[in-house]
Amino acid sequence: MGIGHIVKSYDNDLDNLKKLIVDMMETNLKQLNLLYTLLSAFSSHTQEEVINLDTAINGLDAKIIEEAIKIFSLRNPVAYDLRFVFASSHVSKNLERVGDYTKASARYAANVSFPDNIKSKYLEILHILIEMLHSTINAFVNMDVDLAKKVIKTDDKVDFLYNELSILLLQKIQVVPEKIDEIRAYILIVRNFERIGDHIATCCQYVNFIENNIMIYN
Amino acid sequence: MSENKKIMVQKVNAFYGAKQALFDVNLHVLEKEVTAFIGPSGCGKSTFLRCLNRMNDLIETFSMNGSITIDGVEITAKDLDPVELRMKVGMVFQKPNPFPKSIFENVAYGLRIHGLTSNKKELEEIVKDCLERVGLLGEIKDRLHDSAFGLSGGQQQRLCIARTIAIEPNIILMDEPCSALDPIATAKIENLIGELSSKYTIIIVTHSMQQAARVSKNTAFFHLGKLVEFGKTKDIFSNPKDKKTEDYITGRIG
Amino acid sequence: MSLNTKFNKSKRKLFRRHLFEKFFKLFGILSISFALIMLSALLFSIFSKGWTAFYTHYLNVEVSFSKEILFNGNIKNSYSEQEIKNASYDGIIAEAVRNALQQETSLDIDSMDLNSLVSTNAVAQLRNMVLSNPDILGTTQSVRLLVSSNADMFLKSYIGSGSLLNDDEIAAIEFLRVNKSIISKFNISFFMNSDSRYPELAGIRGAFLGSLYTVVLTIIFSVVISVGAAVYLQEFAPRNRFVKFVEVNINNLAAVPSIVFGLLGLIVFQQFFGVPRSTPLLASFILTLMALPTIIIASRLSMSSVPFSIKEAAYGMGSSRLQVITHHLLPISLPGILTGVILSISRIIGETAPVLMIGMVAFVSTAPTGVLSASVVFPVQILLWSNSPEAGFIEKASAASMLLLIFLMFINWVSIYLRNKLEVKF
Repeated sequence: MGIGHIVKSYDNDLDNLKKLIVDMMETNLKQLNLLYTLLSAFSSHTQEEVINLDTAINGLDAKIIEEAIKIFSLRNPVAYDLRFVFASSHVSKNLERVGDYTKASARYAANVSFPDNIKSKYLEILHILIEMLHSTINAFVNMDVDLAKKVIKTDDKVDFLYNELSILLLQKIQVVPEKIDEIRAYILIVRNFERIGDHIATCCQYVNFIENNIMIYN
Repeated sequence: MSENKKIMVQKVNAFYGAKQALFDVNLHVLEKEVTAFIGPSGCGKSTFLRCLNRMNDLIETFSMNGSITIDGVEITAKDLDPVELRMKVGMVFQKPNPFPKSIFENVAYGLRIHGLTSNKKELEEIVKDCLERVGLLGEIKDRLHDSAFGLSGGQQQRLCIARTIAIEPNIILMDEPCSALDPIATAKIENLIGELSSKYTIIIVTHSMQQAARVSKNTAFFHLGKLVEFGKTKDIFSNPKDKKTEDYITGRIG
Repeated sequence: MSLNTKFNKSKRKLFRRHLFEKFFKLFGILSISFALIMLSALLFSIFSKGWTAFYTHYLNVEVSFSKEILFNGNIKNSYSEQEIKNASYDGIIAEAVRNALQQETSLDIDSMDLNSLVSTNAVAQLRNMVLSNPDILGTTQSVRLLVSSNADMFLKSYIGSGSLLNDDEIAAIEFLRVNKSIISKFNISFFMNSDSRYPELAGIRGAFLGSLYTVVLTIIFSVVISVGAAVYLQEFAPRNRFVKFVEVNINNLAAVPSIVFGLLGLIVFQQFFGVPRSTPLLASFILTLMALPTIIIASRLSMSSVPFSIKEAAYGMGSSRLQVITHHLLPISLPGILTGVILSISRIIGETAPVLMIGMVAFVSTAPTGVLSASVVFPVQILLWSNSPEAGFIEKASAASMLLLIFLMFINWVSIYLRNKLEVKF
């Protein structure tokens, strides 16, 4: 919105909420980057860091909900402000899920040793996710609907890669049934990636919702 | 539901002396629905409301042009008797303004001056019925003949509503009816507006946007004498079309 | 400036501010005391002189209605009315007083004017007794006679021995008082009689009725006219130059000296319209003119203080303009209108100058029988009495002032009572 509210502290509240969301997204981004490092070369130290970051993300989520409730009760937001505060709380919940999936993936990563051809595929998906989240931050900060829509489109690529990889992994189970535990971990990780992609795409849908009052589902 | 246009307003311009207060207002009010007028102070919403029952006639410098029809009858015509019009279009004011008479006499007043009842028993019945409809009868059963000034602000305002509905108008205009009341009294009036809307066409001017959102089905936003936006209340408050409306309802201009 | 010096500076000023406040308070108290002292001096002088007019003295004597004395020795069984009227009552009065004084041997009764001790009214009193009952001729009756004004004045210690009463007369009065032949009683004739040449007979009935007729007529005329004018100016009149001119002139009218109104009344009402002079009707016309501005101003003020919201509510209910006025505007502003009416009425009751102009200063010894019979009004009666040379009129003038004051206080009390009772609080 171009001009500020008559009540300056209202603007401060909204800015503060936005800052918290961006903080949270950046924490997610950091977590995903660490996961990337972890998958490239496992280290228990990095794994621990990824897991710890989830705690920080949960804390941020709680804070965002608290802040949103405060604005609802004290400011009675309407129209754009209403959509923004409402969307913020939903975005926060989605990001919290992203954090959870990232943490779970890091846990599974301890039990796997990727063959190179598969590992590259994982890293490719993860790279796309990191790019998506990066764009989401930009879209959210600038309320850039076009960028958000682009991110939503990119999620299709993640889905496609997920399908490809999961078929491959299922075939692998039939070939080497004795490795079922390890392959299960592979599948779970890639499924988590797919979910992470969905959640990030949902965050971008909220950007569109804030600006245009419409949710688009694909 | 068929939308019956009770009031049609076309190209209304209003002036106080040389100062123009309304610019080309076009609007329609649907029958048996609550329509809210919102906008910052001095935006012309009260002026417009008072055009609808010719209350502005009391102000010597006031003049207007354009067309306002109620049920197809032009009400701006010079030969239309405002007394007759006001029987059809009742009004409730910002400050509760009961007459300095008893509660009973306040409600009976309109019936008496218009000669709407033929005997004392009928009068008493209608008065009690009106008080019942505004939820006041139970509270003041034993004090019917006490002064209306003994009531609380909210009760006084409900008494004013009872007084208005006693003469069975088609339309009730409310000019910020809750601005002088506490939240509980406000809630009671809002509830009452909801109940009355099944029988009357209600137009309410309010400064509280939350109130407009709560009680009305349609909302018109006025700014600097112009009708900026008019539409369904839920659209106005979730996704206004006009930037000015959005700025006003989110608290950016006022 | 440091906070401390700022504080000190303001503290010095504060001390002076409080000092001024104390001075101002003291000044107010002094003013009030001065006003109170003056008021009590006035009341004391009026009440101390006036209260004696409310009682008077009577002489109880045995009157022998001797035919010998009454008819100069013409003794017969019955007399014509004319004979009775012309009979010599002075003789039997003198005889009765002589008998009453018989026991006081130190007096030279023969050299005294025995009739000067009783009122001139005694003759009429005895004559009426005989006229109503001729049978009492030849009998002796116990009769109560009003004492003369001079004797009354002496008994009320206004005068001592001197030109009015000689030593013998004073001794006689003293003797009669001591042996309880002279008694003091409530002076009912002060309320029942009209003006008279004789102080002991003068009363306020005529003035009271004259004032009453005048005031009632004035109230009727002025309320009707001024409320009408006020309603028109307040509710109907357009806001143009002419109306403003009228408004200004109404206010000017309130400042016109009352004698000018008298002159106007004399020329317009008496000479042009031919309203009979000295009558309450003519007086009420003039006093109505004087009352108008006050009532109009008070009524307009009161009407303009009726909250607009009430008028709005009434119009919103579909009242016509007249209904708004009669149902709401007038009832709510009634206390204010009443205040204006009573204010101007209490001024009018005491008004002397204009009624002098229309000849209400004439000596009228009968109470007015209607609005077209000549009469005096209260303040003029006071003026007439205080201008009279007889000592007996002084107390009458004071007593009349007392009654006027009491009447005004009563009216003010009524106004306050009505205002409180009718007032609508918003």
